[in-house]
Amino acid sequence: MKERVIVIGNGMVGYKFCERLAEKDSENKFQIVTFCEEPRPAYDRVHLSEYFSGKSADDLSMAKFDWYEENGVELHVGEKVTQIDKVAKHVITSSGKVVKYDKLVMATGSAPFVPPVPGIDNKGVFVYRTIEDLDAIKEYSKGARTCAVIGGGLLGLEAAKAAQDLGLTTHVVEFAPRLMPRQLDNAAGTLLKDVIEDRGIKVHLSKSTSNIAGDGEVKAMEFADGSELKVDMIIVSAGIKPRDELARDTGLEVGPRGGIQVDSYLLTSDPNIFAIGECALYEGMIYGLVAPGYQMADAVSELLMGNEATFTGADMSTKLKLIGTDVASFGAIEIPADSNAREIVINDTHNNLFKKLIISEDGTKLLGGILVGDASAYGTLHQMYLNEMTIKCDPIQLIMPASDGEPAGVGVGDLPDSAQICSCEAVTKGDLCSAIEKGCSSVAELKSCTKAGTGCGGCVPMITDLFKQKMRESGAEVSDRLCEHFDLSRKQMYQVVRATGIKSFDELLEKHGTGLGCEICKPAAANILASTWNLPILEHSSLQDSNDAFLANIQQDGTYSVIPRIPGGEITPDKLIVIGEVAKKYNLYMKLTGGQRIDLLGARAADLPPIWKELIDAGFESGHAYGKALRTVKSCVGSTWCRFGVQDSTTLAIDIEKRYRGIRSPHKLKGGVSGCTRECAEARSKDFGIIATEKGWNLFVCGNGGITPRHGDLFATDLDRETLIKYIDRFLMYYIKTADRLERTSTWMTKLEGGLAHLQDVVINDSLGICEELESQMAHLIGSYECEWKNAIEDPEKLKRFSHFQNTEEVDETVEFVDIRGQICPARLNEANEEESDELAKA
Amino acid sequence: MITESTWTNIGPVSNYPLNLGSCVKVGGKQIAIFNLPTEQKWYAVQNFNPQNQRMVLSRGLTGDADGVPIVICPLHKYRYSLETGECFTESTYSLETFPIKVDGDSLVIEA
Ligand code: SRM
Ligand SMILES: Cc1cc2nc3c(=O)[nH]c(=O)nc-3n(C[C@H](O)[C@H](O)[C@H](O)COP(=O)(O)OP(=O)(O)OC[C@H]3O[C@@H](n4cnc5c(N)ncnc54)[C@H](O)[C@@H]3O)c2cc1C
Ligand code: SF4
Ligand code: FES
Repeated sequence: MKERVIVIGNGMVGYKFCERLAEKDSENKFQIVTFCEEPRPAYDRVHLSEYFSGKSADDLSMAKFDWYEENGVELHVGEKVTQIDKVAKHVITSSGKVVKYDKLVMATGSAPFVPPVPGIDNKGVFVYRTIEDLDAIKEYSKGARTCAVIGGGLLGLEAAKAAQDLGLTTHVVEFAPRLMPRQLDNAAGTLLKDVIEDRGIKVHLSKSTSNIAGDGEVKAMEFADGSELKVDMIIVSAGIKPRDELARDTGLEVGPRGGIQVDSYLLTSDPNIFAIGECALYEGMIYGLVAPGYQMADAVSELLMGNEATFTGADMSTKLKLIGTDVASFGAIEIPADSNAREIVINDTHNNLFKKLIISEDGTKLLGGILVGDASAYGTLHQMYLNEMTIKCDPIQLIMPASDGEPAGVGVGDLPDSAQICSCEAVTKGDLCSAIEKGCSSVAELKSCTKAGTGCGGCVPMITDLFKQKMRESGAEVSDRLCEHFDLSRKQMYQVVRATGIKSFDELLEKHGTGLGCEICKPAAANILASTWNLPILEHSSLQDSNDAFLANIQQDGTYSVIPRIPGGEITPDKLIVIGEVAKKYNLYMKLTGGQRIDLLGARAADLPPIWKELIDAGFESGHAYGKALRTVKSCVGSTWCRFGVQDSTTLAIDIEKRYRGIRSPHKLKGGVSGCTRECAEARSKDFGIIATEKGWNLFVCGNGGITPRHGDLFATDLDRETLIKYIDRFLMYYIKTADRLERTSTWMTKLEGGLAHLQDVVINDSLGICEELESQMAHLIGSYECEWKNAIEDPEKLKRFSHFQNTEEVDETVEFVDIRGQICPARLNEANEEESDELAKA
Repeated sequence: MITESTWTNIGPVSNYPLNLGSCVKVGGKQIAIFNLPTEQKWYAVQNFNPQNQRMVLSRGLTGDADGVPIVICPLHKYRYSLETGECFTESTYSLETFPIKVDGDSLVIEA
């Protein structure tokens, strides 16, 4: 006879238990029966908010009905267990069924805690836990304008974001003096408040709600300090309360503040009844996260199989999702009392960044930390903490952007094989590595075959890093084919184009590819055709990303930006006035860019040609801000004006910018020229940087700002102008020929075999014997330059596409602007139905 | 007998650039239309991209994914089937598709 295991509750943890037991029970020793109070089988509550952003209930489900059938799990949906008879060992359900069990697993989860405030039963008060709750919130929000969320914890902030996305003016009301009181310290909480308020959600701290005013429907919240907040609806997210009512009725031991008491075998006070997930109380603690719940589910399934397993507590580190800024904390958030631990704090209120580490007295172990604003280091720091790894550098380096190349923290590579990368599914680095070795060839495959990353998702960046690293190590297996349509790498495609003289994508596809192409191979091919033949870019407009196809950068609202070239950042008053006049005439937003020039934003596609006509008539040219091409050569005032300057950096910058303008390359190119070592032009952060010396110019290559900053390498010193330009010509052309698509010079350099020495050998000593060819190809590109916008406005055929509609002259009425600081700005998506927010009114 | 035709004439085929998307307005709706010359076929889908809620799809690149003709949103590169409107990047999104054909020298669309 099979042993019958009844599982009460089919939430995330109850389901996981069924899955684990069914998986382990290959001999079918158990019959699993599960009762589910909700009207549908278990779904992913962690990602519940995505129900608002387009996911259906079905998308969120943990397993389809078929799964239960195929795995012999008997599922009763919409049926609640109302009584347990622990002597007769049976349960009674809401439909009157009496079902005997051998073992019982309670996975009843928790319910939102709703404080017993007078007026809380008014219509318009909601909780945020089930799909039904969200349906009700969505429906009610249609007739509402303002919403308050009671509770500024992890879930409260998530609910607030959801309310804001529904178009409601949103307030968060928190009893404690700071947000996320359990995960953050005061400084971090203050910063988070600023960030959230910047996003338009009002935060009210130290507020205790004394009454909810309403006449059957919510009207306002009244606080103990006498103040009042007018609201149309309320979402309560003030904590959770374990669902222990059934356990209480059965006479199982429960904690003084709720929760079904369990021991390290997850057994309740009855030896045949286990409790797991959010209803279980272990050593005075309720674990309100999925990962610990899954660990409990796994342990009980092992125990039932007769194996040794215990639950001895779990890590409660968290990373907040969805609110639009990073927030994470792990381990200790304050120096533990009576310890000699130390703390390191970076509180950068200017950049809205807060980072704090708690470290052991000797600085070798990480005990905990908080990250707000940038939690990119969370994965590694959390792993260092969990695995008690030794800190090998100055601990502050772990949270500082490193000044040169590699960040100082550990990478996945340094972690031991036993490190648990995914705590939801208990998948270690070793598990992932062996799955990759067994043939998982993409992150998606790796996720589906190990289940890692399928819970809270917090570990996905680490899984991705690990995957990439393993792929790199195994060298041969990394396929560098561009995409499904071409079996060529970018470098090979470049060689094919040059060798065969192919001038169109269609021909390239016909001879060397398959299908119709895609967003990967089309722009790559267009870029190569341009780098090789330098024909006007609009001749390949069907291959280009929208930016190149419209010779302008598309913005979030579908309008475009206009950036005229201002070589070296030097501009005459007259030209500056023209830019201002054009901006005024076409009602454009104006801003100085980070590249020493001027951006005009908010242009409709149809206005681009007339705008450019005026700019070109005034002597401007395209700035190629839209292309993978030379952007700017930043300059300083140099010896012309500056009291320290030793060479004329401005003239050189202008000449160089003009020399390489318009040339298409694998990624954008930036240059800089400084007049002395003070480096005001930040040349070392550019793809090619030039710094004046008493004797000439020092050339630096492969620098980068942006995502992974890298200082350029000193390539050659004290060059005269002619040699300098010759080297840059050769360097750029060699890069154009050999780099991968969308690879900046800095990444190209880090992958280049032989590194800097090799590059110097090729460019300075002509070790490959290709310098003559590099120079003549570069000369061709420079010689065939033509302003793309000038070419376009003179060709009616090319202008055809710049109107929004092809069958009417109307403009796109969905593009709307609002006024910000006296200029236009794109209206946010829900701006139309947003009203002046109600303010806290003093009573 | 009177048959009600719901086809709208959106002008001569020669108005529409081959290989590139265009946007037309039919009965208040913005519709993105594409011609894939190698396929000798026209496609019409809503111009509104449900992912970023903007009227931009007509400005996307076209291509194929495993043989299925697709349009790729210019803003965040979500891929949609031109035949069924299905989104391959995120299955919860989909586009409305419209019948479109060449009638003499003109393009007509049923929307
Ligand atoms: C407009 C501007 C910001 C501003 O208001 O100042 C800007 C705007 C954009 N940057 Fe930038 N970047 C601008 C200066 C910079 C700088 C500063 C500089 O050039 O000195 C950097 C760091 C320096 C560097 O590149 O090393 C910079 C690093 C990036 C990066 C990261 C590149 C990297 O290699 O890590 C990206 C993303 C990318 O290219 O993939 C990016 C991408 C973008 C894009 C193209 C994002 C996009 O696809 O929409 C933005 C669109 C431009 C537009 O719509 O016109 N932008 N961007 C600046 C235009 C400069 C110009 O005159 O052309
Ligand atoms: C909006 C939101 C966001 C979250 N985000 C995160 C996150 O980012 N990370 C994280 O780790 N956790 C997060 N959580 C918490 C996480 O969802 C829970 O830890 C997890 O769902 C607990 O699983 P459980 O099975 O114990 O409880 P539940 O998922 O609550 O399941 C319990 C089920 O049992 C049913 N039940 C109760 N009593 C009975 C009965 N007598 N008979 C039959 N059925 C019964 C209930 O109806 C329910 O369906 C979030 C929760 C919410 C609401
Ligand atoms: S880099 Fe040198 S020359 Fe140029 S402005 Fe700075 S101090 Fe002056
Ligand atoms: S840690 Fe939650 S999915 Fe991996």
